[in-house]
Parts: sequence; structure tokens; C-alpha cells
Amino acid sequence: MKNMIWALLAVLTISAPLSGQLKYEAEERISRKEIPKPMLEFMEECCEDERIKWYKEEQFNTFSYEAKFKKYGRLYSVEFNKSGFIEDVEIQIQQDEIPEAVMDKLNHYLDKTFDKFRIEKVQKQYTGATDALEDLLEEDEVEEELSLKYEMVIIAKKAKDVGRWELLFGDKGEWIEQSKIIFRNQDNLNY
Amino acid sequence: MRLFTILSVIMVAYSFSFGQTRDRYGLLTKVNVNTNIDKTWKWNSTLESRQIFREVFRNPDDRMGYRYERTDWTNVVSRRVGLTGSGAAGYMLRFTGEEWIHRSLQQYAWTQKRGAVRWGHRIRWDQTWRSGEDVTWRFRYRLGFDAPLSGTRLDAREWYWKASTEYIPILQSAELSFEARVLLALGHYISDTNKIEVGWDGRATGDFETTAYQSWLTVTWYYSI
Repeated sequence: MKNMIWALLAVLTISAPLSGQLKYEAEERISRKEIPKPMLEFMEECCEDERIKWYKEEQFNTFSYEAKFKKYGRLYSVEFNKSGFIEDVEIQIQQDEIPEAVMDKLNHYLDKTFDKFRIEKVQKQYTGATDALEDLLEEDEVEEELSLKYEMVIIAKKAKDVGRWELLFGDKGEWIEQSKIIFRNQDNLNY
Repeated sequence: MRLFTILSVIMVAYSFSFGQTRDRYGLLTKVNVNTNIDKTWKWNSTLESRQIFREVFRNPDDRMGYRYERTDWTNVVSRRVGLTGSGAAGYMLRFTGEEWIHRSLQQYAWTQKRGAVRWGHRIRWDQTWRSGEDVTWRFRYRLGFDAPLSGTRLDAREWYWKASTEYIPILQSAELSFEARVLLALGHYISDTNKIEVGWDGRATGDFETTAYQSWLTVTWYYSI
């Protein structure tokens, strides 16, 4: 019994001082009452019938809010700045919904940049005037003034380095930016 | 998820199908350390200890209280295969207080990610040598997943849950037996190099006539150097 208690204490004690380490990007689920008023008003206007999950996303020195829900059989993610004003609408799509000419350009970039890759997630990202974004959410109507980009998460290998990357492309498939996502260790699923 | 549910139901049904012979309840503590040798190769070392609180035999009057059961030290070297797979081989040394037991193992594991849920598959073969006994051969398949309790992404200092189920045909001296396992755990992602999991690990082992049942409280610390 003594051995068991010591083993348990050792595991718990060693882990305690290590918990202070910080990561500069973190997503946290929050309740409806924690979101800013402009965000709540906007979401009530456009999406009052949806079952919405609310998130706060903290980055280095700043934060934003996100509302996620399912509509028209798709996953929607609406991002707001820290004051609660809308920034963009992201809609998850299948890879084959990207126009062929655009997909060719994306594949050309990915083939050139990575040794090997697999696309995990594709989203259409719309930015523009608040009213136009509201129409998009309310009526699934894409107005001309909205600007479209494609956001993609891939798992890829580049110079023996395997990781996840988030990439942003323009509506014609032109590369805009990319960032590497920290690859979570899979030791707890392998051993 | 559907596959996981079906496999879990089979496991539970199996565990209640046969007369029980020897049930064990105890604590299973594990420290798992892993490090990158280079961008392709990894080394993993696990120290696992089992302590039994209660043991019940076929005759309900034959009960035993607390005893230390064994300590396993396993070292595995793995090589990344493709984007999310890894092939590995290793060796385990087991000390029971009375004897040393040796086991070699080979495995292939891969993961998939769907939304917030990360799925892990593991196929493992192992061979166990014990003094005075024929070699025991085991084939193992484990399906597991983990997901954050809150949000769609697991960040430092967040909680997550994990579940897995594993099926193990066992062959020794031309006799076949079978083991099924289910694990349910709550994890704390302390940082990118540290996580701790506490859970319940249920096991049923049998030879189609009798079944022995095991129930473990598990405490596991994963550390990356």
C-alpha cells in the first residue's frame, strides 16, 4: 500500500511544477453571457435558430471570439474581434467543391512546397461588409462585394519535418500566407 | 465512433460470457518518456508497475488483499512511416519479485484526425519468454481516441478524455486464449511535453471456458524530452 501511495504522489508531484508553461494560442469554450454585446446582437439577427457554440481564442497579446454552428449541412465559424465586431465567416467545404482551375493552382503550390501532403480541412473564408456577411449567414447568399479566400489545414512532410500547416489562398488559388501548427505528440495513442 | 461502440459491446459481452476464475482489482501506474533521436527516429521508454488491492479466486472464500504484482520496463525504438504512421520494435523486461520475464515486440501505429477527435490505431505483435514455459505469442489491435473536453483544439493546461479498446488473441503451447480491454481516461494536457491521464482499465481474459476479469485504476504520466 505504501508503495502505491508513493508512486501516485511521485507522478502527481513531478507534474505540478511543470504546469506553468504557456502557449500563445489557446481556444476556450465560453458561455453566451461572456460574449460582447455587438457579437450577440449580430448572431441573434442572423442565426437565432442555430445551436451555437461560443469560443474565445487567445493569441499573443490579443484575443478574438468565434461562434461555431451547423447550417445547411455545413460547419460555420464566424470570427469577431475583441470588441465583438465581425471579421470573417468561414464555411467548411469538401475538397472537390473548389473549382478545378483553383485546385490545380493549389496543388501546384503544395507539390512545389512539400515533399508529401494530405489535406485535412478546407474552408471558404469570406470577408466584407457586415450586411453582406449577415446575408451570407441568413440566406446563404454570396454578394459580389464579399471577398473569398480558401483556408486549408494540411498534414505534410517538408525536408524530413512532418507537421500541420494552415495555408491561406486567394479566390484564384494564389498563395497568401501559411503558418505551422504545433504537431501534438501522439505517444498516448501509440503506447 | 460506431466501430468503437460495437467493439466495446463485444468486449463487455465477452467478459460476462464465461464462468469467472480469478478477478483482480488494483492500481496500474505508468511513466512514459519519449524523445526524438532525429527527425525520423524516436525512442520510447515505459516503466509500469501493478499493485493488486483485491484478488478473488473461483472459490469465493479464497481472497487475497494487497500485494505488489510486477514492474515492467519497456524500451521501443520507432521510425516514422508516411505522414502519421510509425513502425517500432522493442523489448520489455518484467520483474515479478520472484522471476524475470522477457518480451520482444513489434508494432505499427497510425493516427487520423476528424474535427476535434484524434483516432489512433495500433497493431502489435509480441513474444514472451518465461522460465520453464513455452513462448507466448500475442497479436494485438487497439483502437483509441482522444478529444478536448472544451473546444475543438487541445491547448496547454486543458483537460481531455481518452478511450480505447483492444483485442488480443494469445497462443501458447498450441492453445488459444483471448483478451479484450477497455480504457476510459481523463487527461490533463499540462504542456506540449507533459500530460497526465487517470482512468479505468478493464480487462477480460479467457479460453472460451473460463474468464478472468481485471479492473485497474490507471495513472499515467507522458513526458517528452
